[in-house]
Amino acid sequence: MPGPARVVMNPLAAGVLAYGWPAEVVIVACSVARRPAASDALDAAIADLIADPRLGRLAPPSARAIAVGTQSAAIAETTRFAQEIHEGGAALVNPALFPLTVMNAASGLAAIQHQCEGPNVTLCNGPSSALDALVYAADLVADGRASVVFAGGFETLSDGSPPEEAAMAVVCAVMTAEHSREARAQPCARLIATASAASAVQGNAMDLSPALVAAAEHAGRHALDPRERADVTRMVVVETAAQALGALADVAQAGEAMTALVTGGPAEPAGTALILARPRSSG
Amino acid sequence: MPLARDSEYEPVITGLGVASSIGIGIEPFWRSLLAGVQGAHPVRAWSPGALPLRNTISCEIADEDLPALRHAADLTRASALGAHAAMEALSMAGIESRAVDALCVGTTMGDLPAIEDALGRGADPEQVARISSRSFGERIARAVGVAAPAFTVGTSCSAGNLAIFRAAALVRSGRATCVLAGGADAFSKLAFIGFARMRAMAPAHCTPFAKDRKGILLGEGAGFVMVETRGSAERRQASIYAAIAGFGLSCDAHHLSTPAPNGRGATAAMIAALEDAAISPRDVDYVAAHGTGTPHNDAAESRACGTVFAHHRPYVSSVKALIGHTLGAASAIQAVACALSLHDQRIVPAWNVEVQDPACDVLLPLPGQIDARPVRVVVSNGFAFGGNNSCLVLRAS
Repeated sequence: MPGPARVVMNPLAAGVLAYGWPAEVVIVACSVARRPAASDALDAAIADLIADPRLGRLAPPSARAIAVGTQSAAIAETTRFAQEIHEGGAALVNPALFPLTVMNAASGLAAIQHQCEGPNVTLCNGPSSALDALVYAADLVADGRASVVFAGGFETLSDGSPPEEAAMAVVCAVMTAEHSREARAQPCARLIATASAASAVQGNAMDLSPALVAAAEHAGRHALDPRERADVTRMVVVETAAQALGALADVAQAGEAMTALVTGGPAEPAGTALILARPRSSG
Repeated sequence: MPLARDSEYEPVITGLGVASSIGIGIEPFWRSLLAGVQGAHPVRAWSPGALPLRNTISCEIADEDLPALRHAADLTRASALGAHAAMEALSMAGIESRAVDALCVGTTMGDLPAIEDALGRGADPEQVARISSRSFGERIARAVGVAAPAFTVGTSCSAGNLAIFRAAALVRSGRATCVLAGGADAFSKLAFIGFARMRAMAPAHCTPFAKDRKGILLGEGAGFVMVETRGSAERRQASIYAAIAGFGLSCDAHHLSTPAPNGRGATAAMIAALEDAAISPRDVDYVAAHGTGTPHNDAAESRACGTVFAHHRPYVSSVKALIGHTLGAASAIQAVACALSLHDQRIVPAWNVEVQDPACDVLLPLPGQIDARPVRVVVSNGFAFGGNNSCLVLRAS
């Protein structure tokens, strides 16, 4: 197994973590849902995937996992709980609101709704959250800890969307290529490699994205068939968590050649790159 | 895929750090756990009677016990607690912060108390989102001089375990050499009110597995471990406190806040972790229970232990009896205590149990009645809202 890919970077960004997967990992369908609340959007996106014939034969509950990333998490629910305490007093607040204030409430509710008894993970890594959740999902299936992972992210939007569309979820069904063949699923994209880094200097104006893509390309070469090239032909850089969700949906559904999805930009002290490609034609 | 023992990439723990209501730093914390020092105290964050609730006891850290709590202007209380524990783990491991490949931290709401302040000031949701856990891990990483990717896991009360799992997975796949991992949460008024209103909070003492148990006490704190490849640790001739043998995850998919009564999810997590470690349940000497002290949790967890350990009864106890429920930090602090158990060959007694609940049929290591048996393998459980179950298996190094 190849070791970590070490890439020499600008000294302002010291640590880079970059790797590809020893098993081929694919995305089988990607779903986008908009609802008034984040947990409803996540629930709807997973429901769409489960109903999608491209998923093939659905794995049993114990082999279904959820890995989601979110920046806004349960802020809306926490705000509501705090407001009720403020208005009605601590002794009268509705206790049923409290469990909804944890960041993993949405993924817990989705697990109940869709009988996902495997690993259930919520990551909160700022704008990179959804990409990091895809990476986590790939790790889970490559490590044999789940057969299918509903992976992606959800956010409450603050872009003036109408209330009925105030929250968005983008969820991909992630599995190994081997499992996709067994389940007769139809992959739409392949996960090649990832890189994450943080800048050593707070508030510097260095853009990490080129270095992140270079590190991910390097790691991808370790993981890929030597005849295949991990050279990125398209790079999509996003700055906010909501943009990352939109870009993830576009790239996962398009199934293009080597595309790097990168969070970062000059103002961001940290970022993640994820290289996706179209699935192998042999299926 | 179970990992061959003693191999180059086996994840081992070479540094520990902790901040808790019974001790800031490994030595006082461990001494207090073994001596039964109670972290319970009348709430410090507000004056008595300021909240119209019957519950008045918590396990907060006194400000004077941790002078560094607000040592940097941009550190909230939760990230300061995390930074303190992470710094101790770094220095105990003898690793320079620049050599750390990643930092993973688990938390329930990151900087919830800071968010509460912001909400109180009438901040808009966007401002609130900025303080939230968005950069919780980054804040801690920066505070301890780590310039490497930071991962924040938000699975509430199992989050510390998940952060350690992420670190162990990175190390054992050869993707990283040393990763700081832990959990941190600060005392939160919202959480206090929430647990009080759910009637899940004890009036005075947290008494896991006791017949009279009434619920949790809300605590705060942080725990961190340095997870390193065995190869690197041995070449540096570092002290190895424990080896991370395996981990398991599951979800009840049953109820948002109540565990499945048969302990199904907890059982699945423990079995997955032991299979991952390629260790038989018969070889487990001690279970560091999630043991919150609520009637539901302790009964379900006991049932799960009965299922997993059907032919052999390991000791089972919970550090929450003394430090309360530290939420996202809880399983990380537990991991620290388990590493110390393996290193010192001593088990944390089951404190505060006058009469054991017959519905919690586990072998409690009651103070003064603990058999001298070797501690070779320990299992540490972390469960959470959302039906989230996690189990860590550690073995003697």
